[in-house]
Amino acid sequence: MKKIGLGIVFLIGVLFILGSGRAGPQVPDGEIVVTSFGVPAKDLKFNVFIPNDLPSLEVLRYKNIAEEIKSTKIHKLSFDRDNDVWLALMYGQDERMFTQKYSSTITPDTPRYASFAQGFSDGFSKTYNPAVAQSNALAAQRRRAIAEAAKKTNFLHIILYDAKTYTPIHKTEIEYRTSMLSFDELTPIFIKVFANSYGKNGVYKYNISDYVK
Amino acid sequence: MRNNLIKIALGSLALILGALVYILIRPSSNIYFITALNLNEFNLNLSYVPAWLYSVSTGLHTFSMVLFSSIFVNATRFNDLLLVLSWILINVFFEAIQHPDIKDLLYYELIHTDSLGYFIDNLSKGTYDSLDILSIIISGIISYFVLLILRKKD
Repeated sequence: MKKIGLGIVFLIGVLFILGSGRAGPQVPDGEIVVTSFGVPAKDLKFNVFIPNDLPSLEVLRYKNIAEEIKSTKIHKLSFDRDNDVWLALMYGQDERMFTQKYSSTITPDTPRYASFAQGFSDGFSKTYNPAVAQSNALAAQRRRAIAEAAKKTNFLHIILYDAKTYTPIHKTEIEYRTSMLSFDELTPIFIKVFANSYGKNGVYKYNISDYVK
Repeated sequence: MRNNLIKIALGSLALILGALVYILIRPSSNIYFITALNLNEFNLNLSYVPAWLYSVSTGLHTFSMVLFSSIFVNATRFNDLLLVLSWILINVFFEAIQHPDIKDLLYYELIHTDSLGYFIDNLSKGTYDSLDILSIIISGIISYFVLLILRKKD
């Protein structure tokens, strides 16, 4: 009898854990939820890196965000291609998607990019070897999974990395809960949200209506 | 009997407090039980919540489950220790699979079938936080000492 009781408690305990998990993106109410954590850096300078082999739409979005961030001049941030911190913008759920997407485009004639992408691979996906993965069917499976996840997700990650060690310095996860605005319409909002959240630790909630004129 | 009532009371209190963090404070319209029980309307919509508060709720789960489980085993030091370690391991496991490296390992390297991969992906949708791990371990230790005190009083 006691064993049954114990089993039931363990079952309920695990169900509690599963029940408090994320059920996936919801888009009901026009909110942006930001989880922001990291070490605030003073006079931080970072690099906006735009891979030149991205699809045109992605480049456009990437440039839009980069230009928007430049224009805000928030928190003493400045931009210089030769400085020490990388800015990584990620569409999707997590670093894995970024790693998969960008590390697959390493080419020998783009040493900085290769170094950058390899850094991500080394730092965040130790088990993933692009050279091997691309040669087998698993790579295709991964790409499909990433593409599917990217469609479903409504997360944008903005992560600042130390360019030498690839250590995350600051990470902002932006979850946008709206189906009313396109990504391009959301871009300037993201930047303002990022500006509000940068250097802070915690979870913040913003109403999109506060940012839409 | 008295000890069991204390365990139920403390465990329930911890569980309720943890659930309240989710229901009232966490911006959580995409949490399974919040969505399933339609509890979104109770959220206080705070504009700022310290991140560590979420980790406390994780620890409260470990604490309450150790106390509840202990009702069904004989009160010995070994059994208490086993329960504490079991719940620490269970909670650490579910936290750990949210880590990008472990997600990759589980999803891409160990499990190649789509259905299992999808299952793991769903399990690991949360964000890994080392504070959660710390909270789980600390609450496990606290629960062990609570059991120790109750055992000595018995």
